Amino acid sequence: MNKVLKNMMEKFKINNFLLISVIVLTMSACVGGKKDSGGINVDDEGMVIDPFYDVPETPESNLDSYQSGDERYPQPSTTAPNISTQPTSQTVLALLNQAKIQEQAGESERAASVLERALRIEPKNAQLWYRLALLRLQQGKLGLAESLAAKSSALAGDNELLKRKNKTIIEQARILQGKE
Amino acid sequence: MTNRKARRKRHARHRRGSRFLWFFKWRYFRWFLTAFSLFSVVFGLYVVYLDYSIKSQFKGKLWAIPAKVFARPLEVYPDVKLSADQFQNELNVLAYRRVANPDRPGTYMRKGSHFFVMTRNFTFWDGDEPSLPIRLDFVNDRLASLRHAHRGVQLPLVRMDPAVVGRIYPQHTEDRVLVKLDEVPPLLIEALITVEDRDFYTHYGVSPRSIARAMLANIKAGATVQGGSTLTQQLVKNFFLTNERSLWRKANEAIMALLVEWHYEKNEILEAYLNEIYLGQDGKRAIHGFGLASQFYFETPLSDIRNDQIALLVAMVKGPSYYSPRRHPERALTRRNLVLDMLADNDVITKNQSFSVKTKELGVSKLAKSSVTSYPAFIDLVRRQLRRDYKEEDLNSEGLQIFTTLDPLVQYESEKALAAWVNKLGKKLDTPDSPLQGASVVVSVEGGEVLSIVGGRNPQFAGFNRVLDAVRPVGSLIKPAVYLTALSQPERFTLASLLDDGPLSLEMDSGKIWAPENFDHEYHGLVPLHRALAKSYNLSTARLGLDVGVPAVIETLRTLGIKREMNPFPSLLLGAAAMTPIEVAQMYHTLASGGFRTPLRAIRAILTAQGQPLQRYPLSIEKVVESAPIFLLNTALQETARLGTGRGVYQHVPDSLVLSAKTGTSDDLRDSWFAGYTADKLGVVWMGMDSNQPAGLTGGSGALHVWGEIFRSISAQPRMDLVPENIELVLIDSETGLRGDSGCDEVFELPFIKGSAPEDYAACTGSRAGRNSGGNTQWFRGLFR
Repeated sequence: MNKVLKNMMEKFKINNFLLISVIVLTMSACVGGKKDSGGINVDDEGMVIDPFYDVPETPESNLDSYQSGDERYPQPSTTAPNISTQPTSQTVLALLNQAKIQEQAGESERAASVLERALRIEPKNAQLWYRLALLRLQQGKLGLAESLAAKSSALAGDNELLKRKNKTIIEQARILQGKE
Repeated sequence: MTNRKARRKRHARHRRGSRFLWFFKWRYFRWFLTAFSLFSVVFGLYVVYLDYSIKSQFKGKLWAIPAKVFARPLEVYPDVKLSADQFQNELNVLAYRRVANPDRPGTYMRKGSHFFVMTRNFTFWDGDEPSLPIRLDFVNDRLASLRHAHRGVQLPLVRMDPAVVGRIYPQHTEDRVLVKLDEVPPLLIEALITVEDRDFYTHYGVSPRSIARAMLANIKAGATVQGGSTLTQQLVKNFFLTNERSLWRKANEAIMALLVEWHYEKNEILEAYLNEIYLGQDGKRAIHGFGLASQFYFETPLSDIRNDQIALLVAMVKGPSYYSPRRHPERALTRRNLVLDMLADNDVITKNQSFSVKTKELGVSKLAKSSVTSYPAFIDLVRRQLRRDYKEEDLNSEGLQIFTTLDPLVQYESEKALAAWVNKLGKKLDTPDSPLQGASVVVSVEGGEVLSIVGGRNPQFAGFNRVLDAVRPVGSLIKPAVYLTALSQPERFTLASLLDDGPLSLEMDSGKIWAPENFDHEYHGLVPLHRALAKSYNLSTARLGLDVGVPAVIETLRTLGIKREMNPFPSLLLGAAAMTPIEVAQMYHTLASGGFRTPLRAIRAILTAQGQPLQRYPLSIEKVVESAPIFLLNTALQETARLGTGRGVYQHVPDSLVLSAKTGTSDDLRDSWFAGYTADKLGVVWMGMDSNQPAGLTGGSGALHVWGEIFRSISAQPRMDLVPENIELVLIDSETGLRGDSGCDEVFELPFIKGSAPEDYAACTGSRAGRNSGGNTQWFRGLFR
């Protein structure tokens, strides 16, 4: 179990690093962004910002996997995980996966509603606020994205990496709104 | 000549006379013709009009289905704070049945703190939630384990189906559960035709045979004992006409019945009849159609009811209130058995069947609490929010499914707490014309979702909704806006700033003197800013407000979410401004969420009757205040709850529940307010008299207790505000407001926006090295770490 966790953590780190580079690259490449009917296009040269980019690909934590008869169900955490410094619970991971699936199916508003559901369970989870911010940025809801990212940072504690990611969202949203 | 003349004259007269007659006859006939054609045209037009209204009624939405309002669905997941009894309450609200072997959706079994539940499937905005057999084990008010009941695997999360908490009706409060013809038991249809309209499949809407039969029976009896109305006529009457007994109505009914038969198949007419016919009354709610009647009388879907129950429903068609099985069981039983006899006589059922069914009791379920709504105040808020986006007629006719944020558990505890304390405190105060009243609202901190609303001491009463409509002076509840305005200027004000709490008098433009006083009528000299707020001193607060400027304070109130017009008088600083409890909740919500403003929401999403997503009200936040000054303010409001005017709240809630709070009292003790928030929930309570007479209560002696009771009973998380980056903690000598250390009598560790802490050390500090901690720092440390 520990090994799995370690692997997951490593994957997380790499993914976060990748994500940052993607955003930074995107920002430098397409300042001003392109607007289309479905929101803003924040991709450039095939790179797309994916709010669920680093959600671990654990089929076990997928709610639907239960129906397909998967017996390897995740062990839920044993502590109340409502403070951002604590790891995200299996409950919320399951919802994150569901949101990811919906996002991939092009159902971004449903994905947002699943993220909000997760936030009702862990309202102080800075990661969730960050993902919602990214989703809103993609949808072109720039003012909202900016505030959501600020919220995430306010709850991020000493998670400097997350704060940097939020800062990037805020900067990008501001640029696209013509504030900077 | 004279003869000729005379003859001519006579001739002329005669000619004139016959012409006159002819003319008269022709005119008469023309009149008649005109009148007849006019009548034909009018009658024709009238028939066309009737035809049009029939067709539009049938073609468009046949029935107005009221919108259904749902509470929030309960989310169960490992480690959620929920006790076995709270879960049981939820199951009760959802009408789950306790059984020995829960194998059907909507059933459960309980053994102590262990539950086996077969959940119901349900379609939410974001997808379907399938029915699942689950096992729940509760330990110490927490869900220790959540498993699949058969496979034993752990489940990360299960969403229960949401409770129906109300319906939105038009003026006439009709309700129904639509059924399709093929879902209806064949016996019901046969019985209905046998009893009500034997020639249904052969007549053209009106049945002369039935009328003749009825007339004969009526003449024999010397009174109206039998009606000759066909099912079609009954349907038309239910659809379009009143209950008035007149020839005009009868004529209309007959014409319309013929038209309906002209346009529609027998089966279409029958299906409409099955869904339209009036079958009873539930308070204000009218029970229409066999689908709902089956639920209402037997709590069973129509497709599953027994033969004796079918006979009873058919028996009731004749007069749902006269033959009401709940109010007049004997009449209903006699009539049901009469129906069974008729069925046997006409070979619809056998004599044996009839005989065995006749021995059965009525089998009617107990009448549940009227389901129009148990939460009138909350539904009121939902309606008002909906009215912005929907037409009233869509709300009460399209069968919309409205998913709200109502938390029945929080609502229940709020109602209980308010009723208990209003009764207790009201014993001395109630006057016949104006009893003590109260109102409360609880909101989620991060989502801005309204969890409960209690609009008065009798929550079932759908009258004056004090949470939304009682505009009352807020007293000291306004003060955090004054202090936030000041703390947003760190170069001028910090929590340690010393304020003058000496006498104050001010000449107004009108020439009047404004001379506020402290509640204890004393002066407190120089007081540190944080204490002036915690103790709710008026004089120092008024000076501070005048210093930053009343318009700036109003601006802060706007930022926090108050939209109401406010007069920039100095008295505003001490709470002369009047607001409703929901407005106060909006204002404090921005403080509770760390400076992010969220319009309070009572609705999450709306689905069509068929479960298609229609509209969502997403979470929307806006950062409106910097986190540092909010953090400072929340710290001072924690001191208010711990040591200041709000400390009585810890008689109710455990010491571990860190919270920020403020009391409010208006002039002459007319209004008693309390607003407070934990990490996850915010509550605002008001108490007072509708007549605006003094209630004799301060915020601390009235509303505070209700708030405390509510938050003792619901699950609430202690506040743990993360210290923003640009905040530092500094030890302060409370006497001088300068940096202090263990050498001083009383020191506080206070948060400062970096660079704003005093640089100088108080005289009591002997050496800087001894800057550890003083005697009074203990509780403050607890707040931050």
